[in-house]
Amino acid sequence: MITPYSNIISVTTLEALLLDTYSGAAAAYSLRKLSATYTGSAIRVRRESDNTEQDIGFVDNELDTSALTTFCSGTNGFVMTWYDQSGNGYDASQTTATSQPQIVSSGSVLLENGKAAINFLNSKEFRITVANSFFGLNDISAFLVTRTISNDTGGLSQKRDALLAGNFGIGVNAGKYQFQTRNGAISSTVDSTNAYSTQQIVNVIRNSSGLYMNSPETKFTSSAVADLTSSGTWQFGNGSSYGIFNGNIQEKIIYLSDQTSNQSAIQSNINSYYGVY
Amino acid sequence: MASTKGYKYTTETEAIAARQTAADYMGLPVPGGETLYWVNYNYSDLDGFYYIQYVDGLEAALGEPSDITITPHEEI
Repeated sequence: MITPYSNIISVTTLEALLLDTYSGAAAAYSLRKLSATYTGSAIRVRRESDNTEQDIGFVDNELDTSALTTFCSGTNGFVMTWYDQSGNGYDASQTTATSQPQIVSSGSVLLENGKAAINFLNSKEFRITVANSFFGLNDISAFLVTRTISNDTGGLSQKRDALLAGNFGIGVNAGKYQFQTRNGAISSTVDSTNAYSTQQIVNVIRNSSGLYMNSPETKFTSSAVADLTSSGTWQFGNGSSYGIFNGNIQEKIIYLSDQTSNQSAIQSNINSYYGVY
Repeated sequence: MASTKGYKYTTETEAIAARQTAADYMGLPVPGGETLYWVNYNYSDLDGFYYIQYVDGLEAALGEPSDITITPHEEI
């Protein structure tokens, strides 16, 4: 005799945490949890009403927006530190109040496509302390989830010396995404053809062949490898030559390795959470 | 040329002192807090001076701002 099942078992396939599958990131910032082994908070927030600060962590691998709105009830909240989830300790921070990007407005968490977002409007930036040789001659792969709010020019992430030496730059130029590596005569830039004002996953890769960008157009520029060693500060949400970025950033992951073989899968992981396309 | 409201300083020492005046006025850092300053100063390397950009309420700490002109870098 066959006894029919009366219950239907529902199986949901959960996307693995990104860094658990694609390990080895040099620095990783996100408003979702990226690694099961990461036990720290997501961000440190200052509330405008009394300048008190509090770390905000994760619930179910997402930013604990309940704790965030409780802490910032009725006021604005600004991000003082975006913690590095890579385990390398490259926290992005801003110790000047008026330069801290915003995450809560009048008690409401700022959202981009339904997920929490950090807003960099009006001269906001983080700074990250790394060695001068951090980028150097390394292969580089970077993945960002971002939205440009206006078709202007601003730096998403830049480290360089003056006079465009040792320049690693990801930015927006007249609304078009741009990736550049420059050191004297070894100078290369790749731009998106179109300007974008909607949420995008921006992926750039520098390897021995040149510069690659998907944002979402796929572009490639052949180039020699420029030495990106510089004493300049690594800026995040601004750029010493780009200037101020006006927009949102939700995630930024940097590998000092060529992730070409994983590029599509990493983007898919990112998209499964953010629903960009 | 970019024009903005702010405070102009000849030396970095003057700019640092003004930054501290503003932080003290705002009561920063608060106990247990890591935010040290209300505003920061910048250096205009093409003009050779330091400046603090005006934000709402800053006149209470630093006095009335003036119009300052900053020469931007032309090449990205």
